[in-house]
Amino acid sequence: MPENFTPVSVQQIEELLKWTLSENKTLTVKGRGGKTGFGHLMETDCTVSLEKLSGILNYDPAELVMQALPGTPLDEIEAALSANNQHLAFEPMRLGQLYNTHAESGSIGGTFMANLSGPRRFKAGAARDHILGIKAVNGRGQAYQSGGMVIKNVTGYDMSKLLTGSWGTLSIITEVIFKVLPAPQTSQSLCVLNQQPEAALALMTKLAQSPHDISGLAYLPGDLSKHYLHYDGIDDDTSLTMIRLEGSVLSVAERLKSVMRLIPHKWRTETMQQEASQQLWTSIRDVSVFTIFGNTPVIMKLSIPPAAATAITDFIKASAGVHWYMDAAGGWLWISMPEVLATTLIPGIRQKVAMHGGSAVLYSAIEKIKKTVGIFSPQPAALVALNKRIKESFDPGNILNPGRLGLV
Amino acid sequence: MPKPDPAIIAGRQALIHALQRLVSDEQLITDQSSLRVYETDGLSAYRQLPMLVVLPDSTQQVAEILKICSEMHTKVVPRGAGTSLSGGALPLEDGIVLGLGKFNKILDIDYDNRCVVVQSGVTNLAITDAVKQRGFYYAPDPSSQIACTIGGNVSENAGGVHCLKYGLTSNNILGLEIVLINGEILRLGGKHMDMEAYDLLGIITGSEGLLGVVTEVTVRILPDPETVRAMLLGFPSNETAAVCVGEIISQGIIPAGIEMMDKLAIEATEDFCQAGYPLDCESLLIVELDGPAAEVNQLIEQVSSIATECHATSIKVSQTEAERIRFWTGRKAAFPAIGRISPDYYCMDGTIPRKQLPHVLARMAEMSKIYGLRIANVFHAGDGNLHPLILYDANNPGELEQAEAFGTDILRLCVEVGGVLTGEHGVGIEKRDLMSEVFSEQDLQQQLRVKCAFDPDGYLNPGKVFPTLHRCAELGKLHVHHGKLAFPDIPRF
Ligand SMILES: Cc1cc2nc3c(=O)[nH]c(=O)nc-3n(C[C@H](O)[C@H](O)[C@H](O)COP(=O)(O)OP(=O)(O)OC[C@H]3O[C@@H](n4cnc5c(N)ncnc54)[C@H](O)[C@@H]3O)c2cc1C
Repeated sequence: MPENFTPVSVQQIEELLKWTLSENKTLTVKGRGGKTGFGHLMETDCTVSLEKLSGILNYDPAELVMQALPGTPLDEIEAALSANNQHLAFEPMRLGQLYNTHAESGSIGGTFMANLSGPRRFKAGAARDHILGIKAVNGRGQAYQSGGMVIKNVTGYDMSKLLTGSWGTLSIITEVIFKVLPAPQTSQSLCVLNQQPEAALALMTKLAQSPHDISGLAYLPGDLSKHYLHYDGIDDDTSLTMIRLEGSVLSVAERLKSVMRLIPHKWRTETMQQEASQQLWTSIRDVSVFTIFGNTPVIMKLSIPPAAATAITDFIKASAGVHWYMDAAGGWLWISMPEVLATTLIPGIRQKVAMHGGSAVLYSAIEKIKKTVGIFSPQPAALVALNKRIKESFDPGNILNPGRLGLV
Repeated sequence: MPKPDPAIIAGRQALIHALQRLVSDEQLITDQSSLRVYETDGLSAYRQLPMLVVLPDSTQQVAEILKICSEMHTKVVPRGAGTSLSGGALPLEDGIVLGLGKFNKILDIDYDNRCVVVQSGVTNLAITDAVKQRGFYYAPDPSSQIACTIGGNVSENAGGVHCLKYGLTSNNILGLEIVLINGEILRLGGKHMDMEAYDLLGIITGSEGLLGVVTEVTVRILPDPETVRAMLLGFPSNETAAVCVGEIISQGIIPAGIEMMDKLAIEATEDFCQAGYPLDCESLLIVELDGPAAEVNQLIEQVSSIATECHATSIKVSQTEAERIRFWTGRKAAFPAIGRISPDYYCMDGTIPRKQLPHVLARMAEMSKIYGLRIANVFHAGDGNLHPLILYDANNPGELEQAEAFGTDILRLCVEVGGVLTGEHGVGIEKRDLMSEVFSEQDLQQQLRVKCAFDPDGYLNPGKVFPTLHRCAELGKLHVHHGKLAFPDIPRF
């Protein structure tokens, strides 16, 4: 019978981990359970949920810093920030829909352990760029801390960054401290209609190189966009190149004019309705644009040099049933594909990505596919060995989320 | 420092022979007078001649040198430009210095991907210089940017006056090539944003040369903002200036930079380079705003009215680019300017929560009286990163020790108010023994275990950052009490 624990204190987590280690048992670690679909399927002896370690401990808007317990719902964090006209600038995506967990929003701890981010990534960074400090318990059951309440800090190694994105495989975090920022007063999106991927990428590049501080650049091919937006006198299969500007009302208005001047006249450009654009950016952020195809179980995310984006989309376009879109100015490609193609197409994509340098992470698939291709791309032996030594330095008994990332 | 190992020192000749097989004579420095150049870094109170200095010119050479050193149990101190203010590049008597001066090439400027690939010995400013004609720049701008190397910046997670808005080194690099002590060459990240598996870029940045030798760096470059303007705000006291900083940020404004200088610093720099600073104030803020012209103008108005409410005695806004640059000349020359009014100074680097600025500035003024040593403040107020400069004269017996004791008290004060020992200069040897004021034994042990994952024998830059060295075997031991621990009494679901 697997045991399920919901500790309410750091001491209980220490005790639990010491016991797990001494009994040769293993643990699945979750925040609020919103992201359990990521990584390999684990069969562990016990599960620990951090939902009872919840609450904001410290929030002083003028300091631009917040301190919270790991199980605090992301929604609660964002509501508290928004009441003070602040936000998490890294725009963390929600994975609940992708993983069908419907666990509202997930937890703040999970947000950092998954190193989430969103369309603003290329301008504002990811969770890793906003973490300031961490308290955690390692796989020996020893509590430790790193970082602090201040924005600049090189006192000791940046353990908080190492833990960010480690998906609960190194330690159980018991507190996070992170940077928060003023929220933009307003947001305005434009879309350019009917561009081919090459033209869209060229335009996104030009805009990202401009000083107009653009905070969203995405491209939805016609097979996706037709389900979302319709413009008069335009074919159903019209692609959308989306451009988002955020800031003060005055600044956005000014920059909008400048951006319009950079878009060649031959392209039809529309100003997007507030609500429609917000919805679409959310779907782009949460990869829920693919849900129109019903059950699309195999989804991967590429992080690539933006200029390589069309080389990769060219490579995959011949495959039937494959859909993709670009985000982060071409720096990200989200791809969905039918199960039957996955085990042949994914290694091909990864090979292509390796030629340009980049990462190709499998976000969603049945375990059989995950086992065959791996969550991450194959890495050089020396890097594999180093990742393994790092895991051991925190969790020598391999008791925390064993095998989830396929690194050990 | 760790006790030098006489056996290693005795083996110097053999090491020289081994290295001669790898590098040319010109790349190997062995004579006393040439070694002197490397005996110290920016923390010049500490000096030590290394056994020898080797200057590799390729990653392959670095790998082979490190392999030889670990085989011959020889310690290695990596060195960029040697501007570290914490003694991070201080040589060891029984170790070599691995100088990265020959890693001075810009390898690839890639505007489409908004990044530049450079060898680690390229200076910070050279990156911006290489891309500025196309309207780009590299954001982190330490005051030492003419001299310091990007590899050194990575190792110290260097900041600058624009970090508040644009982040530190760690937020502005995409990829690294590093060499481990066993000679393995690793490429981490690249021209893309997110790396797979553990965030090794994150842990290497700020690791002070203890985890690996950085040989190549891919940095993000940003387009120049459309308009940049700076403001000089004079205040009747440090406290009123500090309150103003908090007010600006509370109102949702994130300036490109907010720097603060106190009376002594203002007078010294004005004397030195005539930047046009007001002399009738006790404290000065330099606030820089950037963005589209209309927005910048609006922000300037907003900041002006906040400053007026905070009792500013003068407000001056740059009208031309030349004037803006002049405003900054003073700030950038502040350290040498202080050097003119005092034979020696000692630069501290604690960071505190911003709201503690008035309290900490007042306490430091009191301490200055007690120690009988003057103090000048020039610092990154926006992110609470203090740089108190303690003025002293090393020729007066005991004054260096007094200055160091004063510095230690300041750092303790920073920790006491919820801050940390160092914002951007690193721990090095300087703050090493204060680490236990911030971290428990258990905190430090976890850091040391990470060190063991990279460098199990501790050959890379030992004696820096950590107060005591542990053997990795000891740290790695698992004390498991099989079957002896009670079943935990924790709520279930
Ligand atoms: C006048 C002055 C002003 C300064 N202003 C600032 C400032 O505004 N902001 C700021 O952040 N710092 C500042 N500094 C501190 C210093 O310039 C930075 O820490 C800088 O990053 C050090 O770079 P460097 O090339 O001189 O490195 P070094 O001093 O040579 O080395 C620093 C550390 O990094 C390690 N290291 C160097 N290169 C490598 C490499 N390639 N691989 C592995 N390890 C390496 C060394 O072992 C050492 O521990 C200032 C220093 C001076 C003297």
